[in-house]
This record gives sequence, structure tokens and C-alpha cells, in this order.
Amino acid sequence: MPFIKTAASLLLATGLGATALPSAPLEARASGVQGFDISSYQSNVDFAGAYKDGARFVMIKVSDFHTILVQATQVYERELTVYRLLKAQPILTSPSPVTMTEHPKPVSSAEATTLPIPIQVPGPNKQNTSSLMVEAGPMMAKLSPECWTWSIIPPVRTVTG
Amino acid sequence: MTAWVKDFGDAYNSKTGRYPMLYTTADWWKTCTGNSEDFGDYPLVLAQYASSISTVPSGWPYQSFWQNSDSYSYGGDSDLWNGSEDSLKAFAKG
Repeated sequence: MPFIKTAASLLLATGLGATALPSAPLEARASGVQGFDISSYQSNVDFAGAYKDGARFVMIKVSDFHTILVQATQVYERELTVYRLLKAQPILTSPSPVTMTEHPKPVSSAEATTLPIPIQVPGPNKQNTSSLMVEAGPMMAKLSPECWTWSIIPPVRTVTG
Repeated sequence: MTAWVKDFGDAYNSKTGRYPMLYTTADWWKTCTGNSEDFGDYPLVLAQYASSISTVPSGWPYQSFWQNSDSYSYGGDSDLWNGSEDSLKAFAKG
């Protein structure tokens, strides 16, 4: 995407001037859409309250998807866009070969919405602790100095539209 | 690190036609990738627990999602899609 590359270059220049580029897109769409992400250890989720307060999407880690989706769909029904974060196959060698799990089937065609996808990208320093990655996904920011990352793959198809 | 992420992303892209989203903080990106600018095709999920975004990591003009809190009022972590609900749905459907 040339656009992205160009914009990135401009972004780098902003430290020297007053270019408004980094903030302009944010200001233009400052309101955004509120949502949240949850894992199974985050058990006290008030879907109805969130919805009433404007939340319109939720990202759910795939290993927790079935349990949580039941709660979520009771509240959101078809209104909710549910993103399912698939649990990636543990990747213990790096950088190659890369292996990935197949995209699992939707829970059922009647259940909400959009199908998400997986991934975790363990850093090279802790290749055998992928289980930690799974459980600690939302906490990656706190672990950042250790050079882990957790990536989420965008949905590639829709279950019910 | 960047080679690994790229390898993974390319493999995923070859299977699905899309790149994965990338969840990171600006600090992590700087520390662990040297502020790589090679991942602009990967939608950015920026973790920054603050009232506003001060730094978008090098390589992205803006984030796709902003995880702005790890204590969302109704459970889990708070995220903001940087766009409209329609654009979110369009994004989700690929």
C-alpha cells in the first residue's frame, strides 16, 4: 500500500515540524466505535450494560469463544459484531516454517456474525511459553519490554452477514 | 523479530488474502523492531492506556483499534474502533 508507506514517511517528519498528520485522522474520527475485548479469566462481563452504553463490538479470544458467545448473543443478538480471536497453533520455531491452524467453523450459522481469526506471535526469547501468551493476551502491553507480541487476524468471512 | 512477523504475516496473507492485525504498544514497537516501517499493511491495534493517543508507532499513520484501558467498565479491556460502525463492519467482512 503506497499510501501507507507515504503516510509513514510523513509521520516520521512530524518530530521536526508542526505537521498535523498523526492527529488529523484521529480528530476526524475521534468518536469511533466503542467495543471491548475479553478472555475467559475476565468473567464479570456486563454485555447488556456495555450495549446500553454504546458498545457495538466485542473481540473474544477463540479459546473462550463458545462460552462467552452464548452470553453475548443473548444480549446483542444480531446487533453485535462479534470478533473471534482464534487461538493460533503454538509456534515454537522461528522464523520459519510458519504453521497456522485452520480456520475453525462457526459455532452455528444462526449465531452472530462475523468470523474472526487467530494468531499469536511469540518473540524469539520465549518460544516455549505460548500457553502464557494465550492466557495473557490482553496483558501484552505490560509484557512489552520482553518483546512479545500478540497479533489478531482480521475476519476473513462472515457467518451471517 | 521483524523477519519473524513478516514471515508469519506473509504466510497468513497467502492463505486468506489479508494481513493479520498487529497488537502492540509504541514502546514495544520501538524496542523490539527498531521502529520498523514495514508493517503498514497490518491493521494496527494500539495499546495505550491513556485518555488520548500520544504516539502512534512508526509505520502507521493511525491505528485501527485503540485499546485505551485494561479495565473497561463492563468487563474486559476497552477498545475503540477508529472509524464508523459501517466501516468496522466492512473491515470485519474483509
